[in-house]
Amino acid sequence: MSLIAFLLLHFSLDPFLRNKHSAALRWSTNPGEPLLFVKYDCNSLDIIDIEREKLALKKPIVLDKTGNSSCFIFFFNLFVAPHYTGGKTIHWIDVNPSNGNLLVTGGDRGVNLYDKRARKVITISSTPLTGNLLGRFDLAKSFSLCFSLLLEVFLLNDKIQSKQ
Amino acid sequence: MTYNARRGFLGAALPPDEKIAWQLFGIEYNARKHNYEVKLLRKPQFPSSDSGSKHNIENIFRNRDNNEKHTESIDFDPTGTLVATIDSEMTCAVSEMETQEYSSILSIVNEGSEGN
Repeated sequence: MSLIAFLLLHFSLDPFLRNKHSAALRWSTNPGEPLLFVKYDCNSLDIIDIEREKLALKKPIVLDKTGNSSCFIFFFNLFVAPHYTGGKTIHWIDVNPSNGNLLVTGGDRGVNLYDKRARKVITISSTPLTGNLLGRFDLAKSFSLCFSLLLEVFLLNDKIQSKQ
Repeated sequence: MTYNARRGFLGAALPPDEKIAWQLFGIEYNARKHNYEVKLLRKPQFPSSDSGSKHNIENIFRNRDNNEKHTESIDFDPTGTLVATIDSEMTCAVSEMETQEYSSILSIVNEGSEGN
């Protein structure tokens, strides 16, 4: 019965906690610079050199390292919701029209600025600019939802057993 | 969705479709009607799958819930001569606006894993 409860929890909770891993791309606005900024997965950024047809960076840049702890995410992904990203998904990117070295990103954890020359991510605002409430799940909310669902499953189990 | 003010082009990514990657619209002012007109100019197709996107285990999991390939994002270069798209399989394609020929196709997942 505990296995059924686990599976029920796993599959019922996952769609609600799933963040859309949408990709986004923007051209560099520097004249004569054939570079494309590409955001993929939840918060990875890479730069494509179109002339060389290669990635300009050796490793993708993680745009938002904040959010819930990786340990929590690991166990939450393992036991509850495999697609939950910990509320650090980047939803949009845009390049400064007058300076193609500056890329601004917005997501669950606010607005960040990436400077291509300095290879640094600077946090501008920590206020989330997204309407996706599910993307703002924090530790407490996630646990409370888990607990309530688990409780419902066990109550249902009791009802079934009492009927039998 | 993206707009190139220099050429008056509007590019729009579409819901999942088997062939059409995105749509190109032209926005022009109609003096007779005293209003703007939007015309569908082109419906470019996805690049052929064997030329760029390789299927790997990560892509299979990525597309487990959304089997149909679709364009995730689109952008025109500042001059308005090239258009870049990225699809749900993380294949980035750059094509010429006039000829619609793909000049470069790159799979982000494969390139990233090879680079690391």
